[in-house]
Amino acid sequence: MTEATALDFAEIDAHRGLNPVMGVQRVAGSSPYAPSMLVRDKKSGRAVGIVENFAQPGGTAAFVVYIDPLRGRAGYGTEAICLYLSAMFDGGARRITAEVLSFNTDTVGILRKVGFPPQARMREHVYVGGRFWDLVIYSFDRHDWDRVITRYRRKLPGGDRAPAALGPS
Amino acid sequence: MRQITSAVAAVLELDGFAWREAGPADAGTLDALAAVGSNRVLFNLPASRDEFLARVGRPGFRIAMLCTHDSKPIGAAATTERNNRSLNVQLLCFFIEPSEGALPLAAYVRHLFWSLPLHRVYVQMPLVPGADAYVQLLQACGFQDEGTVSEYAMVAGKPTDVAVLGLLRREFEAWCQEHEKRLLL
Repeated sequence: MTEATALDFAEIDAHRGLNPVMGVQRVAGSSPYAPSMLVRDKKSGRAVGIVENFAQPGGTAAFVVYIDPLRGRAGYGTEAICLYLSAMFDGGARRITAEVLSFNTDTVGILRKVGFPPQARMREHVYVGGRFWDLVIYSFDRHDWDRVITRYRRKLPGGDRAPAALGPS
Repeated sequence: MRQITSAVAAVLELDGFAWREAGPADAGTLDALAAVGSNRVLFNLPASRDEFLARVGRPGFRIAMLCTHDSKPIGAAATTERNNRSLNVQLLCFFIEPSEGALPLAAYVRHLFWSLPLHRVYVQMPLVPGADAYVQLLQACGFQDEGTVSEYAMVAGKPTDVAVLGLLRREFEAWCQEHEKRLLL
């Protein structure tokens, strides 16, 4: 990671820490499946978000996506997830989970859009922003993901439509 | 299982059941209880007496207590994954006969809510043979089914679904009101 990228990463990470919607996220440690990555707008080169994951026992990993609401726009999160999750499976993850606060409508919307229903709802599990919120858990394997990614194949590297949001990190 | 005598006073006694703090001297008894049925796999318990000895009372195995009935050990419980900001804790409980554990388990859960400013207690366990009895036990104590995460755990090399159950403080209070007023907080 270059110094400029590291600075951008730290700035986005600081914004993330102040956003209640990310209140559930733990600090990602080193993961064997994919490193933490910065999301940039491909046209402007501006840093807009972060994707990362933390490994869990049994070959599973939880992914985290954060698109800064002041820098991003609709569609960045979906593209970032599509690229990053494919990289995690390529890196050997057996199963990927997402733990999402119930009021994080952006991520809930993305997961709904790609066709993943929630598998568990831990009621009032997280205290953030002055009250308890449900934690919604999603989980999918490579087979599930391949079905989704087929729909987005044209936008991914090698496809005939370049992604709008992701550039070199 | 043999009778045990202990200088440690019971924290809770109800209808012949008694919960007392488990210490290093109980490592062998805890290991024997863990060896019953699928207990060790269900609650990811320490693999041996020596591991119990190293973990009892430490992070990941706090509020470790032993349950006896007529001085015979019948089960144990502990907490793991405590979150002090969100006021929740993950419960581990393992009995010789889960079908007979409802009253003692409710007493232990009462002890958790009574002792700590908890909002919620939850359980996550792989759905291996023997899990149904614990799902029924937990539901008998007021826990609610919160879903099943597909193939989340690896058990003996095989992807296994994991059940999630949770109990809020207000739900436990309502449960006590309806089922066991002696445990009311």
